[in-house]
Amino acid sequence: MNDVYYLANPDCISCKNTDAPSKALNSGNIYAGNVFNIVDSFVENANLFGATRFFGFSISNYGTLVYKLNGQKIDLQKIQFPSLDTLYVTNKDKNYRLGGV
Amino acid sequence: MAFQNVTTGDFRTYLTKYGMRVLLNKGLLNNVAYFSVKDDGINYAESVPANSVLIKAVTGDNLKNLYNSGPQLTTGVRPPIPNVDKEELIFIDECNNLEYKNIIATINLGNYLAQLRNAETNYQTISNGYEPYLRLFDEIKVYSYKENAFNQYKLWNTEDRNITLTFNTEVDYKNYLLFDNTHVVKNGNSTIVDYGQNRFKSPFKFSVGSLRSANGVITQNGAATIYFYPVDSFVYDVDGLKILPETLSELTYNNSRNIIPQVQWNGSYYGIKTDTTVTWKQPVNQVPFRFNGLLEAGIVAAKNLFDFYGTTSVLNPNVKVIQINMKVNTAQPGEVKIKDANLTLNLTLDTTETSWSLTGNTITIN
Repeated sequence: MNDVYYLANPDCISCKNTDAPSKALNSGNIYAGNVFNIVDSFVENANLFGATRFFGFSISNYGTLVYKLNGQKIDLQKIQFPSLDTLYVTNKDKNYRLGGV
Repeated sequence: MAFQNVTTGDFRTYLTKYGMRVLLNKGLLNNVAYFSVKDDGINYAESVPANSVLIKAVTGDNLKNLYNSGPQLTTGVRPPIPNVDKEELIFIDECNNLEYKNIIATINLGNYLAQLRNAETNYQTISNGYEPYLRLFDEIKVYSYKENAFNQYKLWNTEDRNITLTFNTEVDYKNYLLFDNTHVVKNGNSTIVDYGQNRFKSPFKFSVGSLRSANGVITQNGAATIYFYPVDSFVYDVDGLKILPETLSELTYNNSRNIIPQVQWNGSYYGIKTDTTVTWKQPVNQVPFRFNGLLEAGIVAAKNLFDFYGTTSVLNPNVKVIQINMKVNTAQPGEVKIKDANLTLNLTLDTTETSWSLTGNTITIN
């Protein structure tokens, strides 16, 4: 992974970090305030096992935050942040399970 | 082939179960033409007809085969036989080159938090090898074994498969929900995030990640980690107003003088450290270290969590414990079930900080 996301509205052109190719937060799909990305395997495995609940994270993505002080734009170093990975919970045969049927 | 009573007149040779299986499965029979037995000063030898199912003893007597089914073998298509005799789940710790069949882990969160504090204080000199999270194991493999002529199981293959962790009891499941701070719920095609309903919210995240093999296959048997992440959401303080990142528009951006990134946690806001002359090394270039006061706020939350939900340790009345018991197995539908492996987490925290140690163990595996 090691993707870089800018942490602002994807439509805000001025918010983007201009010195690096950045993606919109979650490619425009924001799951929640502190959940930025769900890797493909997450959904794929969920579908495979018919899972209904998901838990998990990885910390391999980077985010760029916007910072302005007294009208001056200041570039902040990109921060590593957690993104959801592949683990999830299902309730199968009255057993709660992480990760599968 | 094996031998019995080799020092007596009742010397016998016979095929083991393994040997017979090889003959049946692999067609090795046609390749067995000769064997010899050596004794001090005496050589015994016997040639075997290529189409025979019997092997003669050195005395000339026929040996019964392993299955006591007479000299004739049934020919035809046999039902598929797994090419392994035994499978088991193995937890692998790559860092320390260790393997475990079951894990009972005592997690000393006080020592972990002490290390996080130290990393924040000494962020400029922190080792590049420092990991700001706890790693219980790196992956879970399926080991397959074959049985040899001496009834010993020899490792035949290792595999990555999707795994499941089943909570032993409802209490274990509830303890997991208490300890794990972010829950993602997928319902049909919609995905929502639940931050948990704890009265005292956990700053910790526990999960088992995925693994991508060299050929690109992703399996869910990766590292089990505990991470400190006291975050409800990111916000921007825009000239005194709180705005979510996804709603920061071009117009707002251009018309505002101050836009300060903040973390919202437990109803309070923690602003980003604004010294832009600092280059944050990778181990500390993470959210708990980059926002003023956030790490300490998370530590307070951790203490509240364990004070309220933990049970008192029999070893130290200051230490509170949250226990999670799980059984680990593979998840492939229709797969022959492997014997469960056990994973027990004893999550402990001295809420008085008395026993916290910077150099003490964070994980002890029994």
